[in-house]
Amino acid sequence: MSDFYGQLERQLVDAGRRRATHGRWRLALAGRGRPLLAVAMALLALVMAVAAAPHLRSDPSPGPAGSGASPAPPVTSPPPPAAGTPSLRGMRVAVLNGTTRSGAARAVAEVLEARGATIGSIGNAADQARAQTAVVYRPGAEAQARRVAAVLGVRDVRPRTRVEVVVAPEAAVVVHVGSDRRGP
Amino acid sequence: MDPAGGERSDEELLAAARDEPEAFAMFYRRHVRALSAYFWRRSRHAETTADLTAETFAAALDGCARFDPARGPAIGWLYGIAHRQLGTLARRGAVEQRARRRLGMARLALDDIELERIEADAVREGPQSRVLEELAGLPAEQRAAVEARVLHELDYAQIALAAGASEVVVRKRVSRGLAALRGRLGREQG
Repeated sequence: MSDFYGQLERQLVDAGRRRATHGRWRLALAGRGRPLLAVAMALLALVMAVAAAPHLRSDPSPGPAGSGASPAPPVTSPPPPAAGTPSLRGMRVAVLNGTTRSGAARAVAEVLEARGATIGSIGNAADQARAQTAVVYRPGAEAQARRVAAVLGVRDVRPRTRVEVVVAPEAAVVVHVGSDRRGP
Repeated sequence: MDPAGGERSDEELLAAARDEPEAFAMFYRRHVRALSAYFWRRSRHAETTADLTAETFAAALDGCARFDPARGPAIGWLYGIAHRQLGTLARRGAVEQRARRRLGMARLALDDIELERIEADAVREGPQSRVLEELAGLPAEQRAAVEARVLHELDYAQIALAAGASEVVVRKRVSRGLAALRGRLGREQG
């Protein structure tokens, strides 16, 4: 399930994609306004249907299509919502992709979001050749970081460095996604 | 995605946003919470806050080709749009929907839990976003120096290196910027 900020972000990304596509068509087929509009509308409806699909499911696990038309396949299967798995409600977490695989950070963010975490920034880490996923925390947030690590099954938990201070100043906890989170 | 995406400036992200929806998403993620808090403080109403936030970012996406970095920082441009949205709301008693319609974005229906969450987020974000708003109004060099020093906790030598200015100059920018911020924040509370 997604919050307002996540839903709005997906709407904006979808709208941006539609517009980028529409713009290219307009260049290619200049002068044919009306039929083009119809085609664009049909495409729009299709994209919206695809984007809306995961929200219609009652399955609480974050599904593969969370980022709309993202080309990345699902790479992280969420852990089953077993009893005893810590809730992350009220926690601000940033997720940085330390791999070159697009969508890896978002997949992890969706797992954390499903546990109640508020996702701050999602982006690319400066180091994109990270092997092992790590959870780093700002001073005082070690307990929170351990809960995040438990949800993700990550062992590497450590205090943040200046890099995280600059990249994700607002987050108590930052997850650096490594290539060990390659999905099934 | 650009490998250096996380480090691109707001201005670079907006310039890339026309062809790269993910760049706009990154700009959005950087600013959406503070902007929501800004709207919440003015409307004290979560649904209006969500509506204004959505329309402002839709208008920003729709108009990003018109953003001109020579005329000021991107965050100032964003809050300029936000300010106009508030003006429309005050005049008509309803939040503008034009940009969302043009982009084919449906108005998001939010349940009570989500509205409460928006409000709680805005309250938490409050003091910081006040500062960010005022920060946006500073001259570009002062703003960059204050951001680097206060938000990103960099030391003066690093900032000086990045800005291509001497440490003395950077210190002066930070102290002037902070003095201006104190003045603005104090003025509104008084």
